Amino acid sequence: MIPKEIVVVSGKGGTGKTSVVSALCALFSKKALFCDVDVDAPNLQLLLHPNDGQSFSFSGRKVPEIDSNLCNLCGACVNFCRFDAIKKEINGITSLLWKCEGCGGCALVCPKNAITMNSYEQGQYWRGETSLGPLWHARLHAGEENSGMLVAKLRREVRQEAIKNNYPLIIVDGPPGISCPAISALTGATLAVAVTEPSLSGLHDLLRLGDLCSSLEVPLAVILNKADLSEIRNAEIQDQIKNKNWQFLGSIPFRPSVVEAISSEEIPLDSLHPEIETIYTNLLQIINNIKM
Amino acid sequence: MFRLTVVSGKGGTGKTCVASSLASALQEGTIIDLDVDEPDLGLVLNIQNPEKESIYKVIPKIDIQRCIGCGICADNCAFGALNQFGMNPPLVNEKLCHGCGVCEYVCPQKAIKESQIKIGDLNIKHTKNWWFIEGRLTIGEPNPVPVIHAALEKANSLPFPQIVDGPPGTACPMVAAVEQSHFVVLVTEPTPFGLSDLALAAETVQELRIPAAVVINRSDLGNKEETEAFCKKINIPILACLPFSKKVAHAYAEGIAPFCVDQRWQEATYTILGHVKEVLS
Repeated sequence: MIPKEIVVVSGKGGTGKTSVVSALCALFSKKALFCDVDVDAPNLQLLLHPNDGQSFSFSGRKVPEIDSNLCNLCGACVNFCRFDAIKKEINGITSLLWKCEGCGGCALVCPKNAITMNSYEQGQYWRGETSLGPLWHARLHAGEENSGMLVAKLRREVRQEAIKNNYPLIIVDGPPGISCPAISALTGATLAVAVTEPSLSGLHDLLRLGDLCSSLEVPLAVILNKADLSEIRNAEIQDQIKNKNWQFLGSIPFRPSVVEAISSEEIPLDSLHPEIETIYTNLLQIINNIKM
Repeated sequence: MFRLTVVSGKGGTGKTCVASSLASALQEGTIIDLDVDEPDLGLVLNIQNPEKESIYKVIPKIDIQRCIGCGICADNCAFGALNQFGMNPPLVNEKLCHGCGVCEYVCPQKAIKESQIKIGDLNIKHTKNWWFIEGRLTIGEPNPVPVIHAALEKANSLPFPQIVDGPPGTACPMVAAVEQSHFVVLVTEPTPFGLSDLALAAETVQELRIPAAVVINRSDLGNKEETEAFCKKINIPILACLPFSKKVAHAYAEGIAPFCVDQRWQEATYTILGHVKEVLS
């Protein structure tokens, strides 16, 4: 059986994506695998409390190491690098790792073979048991590159487990934005669920996310969170949902008790009641109608 | 004169609220939106009809007359952007290409030349008080970093002081935006999510050795004491605590900067500007 994969995204950050995902995890308890691919700001584990039984190291790229005994300071590497990641200084050649993209050009052009490309740990990922079922999650080290590759790695792992253990469904907490990690999270997904809010920026960001989903040919369903923030923007978003032929899963009003639950590191299931149950039912219906 | 960048780690904590408020207080300089995935600052500052400049990235163009299908370029591409099947010329995946130039360098046939594709836009506007620049990534393009660099290069020739609305997260786009700044304001919220992401963002900023300060937004929702204790531990000052305000939330939903509707936000904005001037003098 091929598992279905629901990826929850938002375009704009802070719309309540992870709160909603945690409540969906509770409603899909034991019936799905869970995965957090917001690898540079992961939060789902704070509500699901996994035991993190298995941990893995992630190294996606290689960076230069310069042997100062072999280097003759010719500067060929400095001239080749298009990312300004290698600098010639008084005491030798140094590489600026946060600028390096790991292309290996410096090592190729070095006439003295003084540069080797070595991989190193860029992040970690874990598989943990929670009371709701297994959770895969990850963390990229601060300031690192290659978040898209780590997202892809996590998705592969969770998918393999789902196939092996016959889970029909995977719920993924996705990254914000529309670039590398979002593309990596959405490519090949069964359904994208956008959690948005009725604000000028919420609508603007949702439209860009919608365009990304259609270019990746992933169907989109929308949850309107903090729905009472603005009547005008609420109506505008509802119009766009109709225009773009997206599925509408439901609205949730702003409730401070959601923040209180999160602050006690608890899933805000009661605070999202009864709307979240309606959303769950609608989502279930859409998932069941998607043929694999 | 300074370039101040506002970041948050976690999205939706009020980064653009702070950046738009700083912009509203400034009489001169340049305001820059580097959240190029989802640029929203121009909406709040009501920027109309900006001038557009296209941003390009370098990609390889294969001369199929010269290519002998040896596959050396594909073997050396660190990004998997060149794929070689049989003896055919390699296929170029433009989206995965970082434009490093390695393929052109290693090709024994000199069959690879540089070409360009558009990956985004710079939107530029000169308003009554300041210049506005927005980087906007083309939808479907994975790498925001070249768009961030292009916007900053443009900004270097424009007046200071400069206020930057940075990208969320703590990965390469955030580093690209922050590393060319003189000061960083970290906007957070006192929830476990806010604190966890603040810790990652602060670590990145401290590694880059850029002076920073914290603003706690919606400071009455959650547990402010934990955030205060954390800031004390890592020795980053807290410049303002702004309680949740329905008025601010509703105004922001309509695209109005908090500075324009709330006195506490005005005071916080001037505190930030005063602090930055003092630290950098």
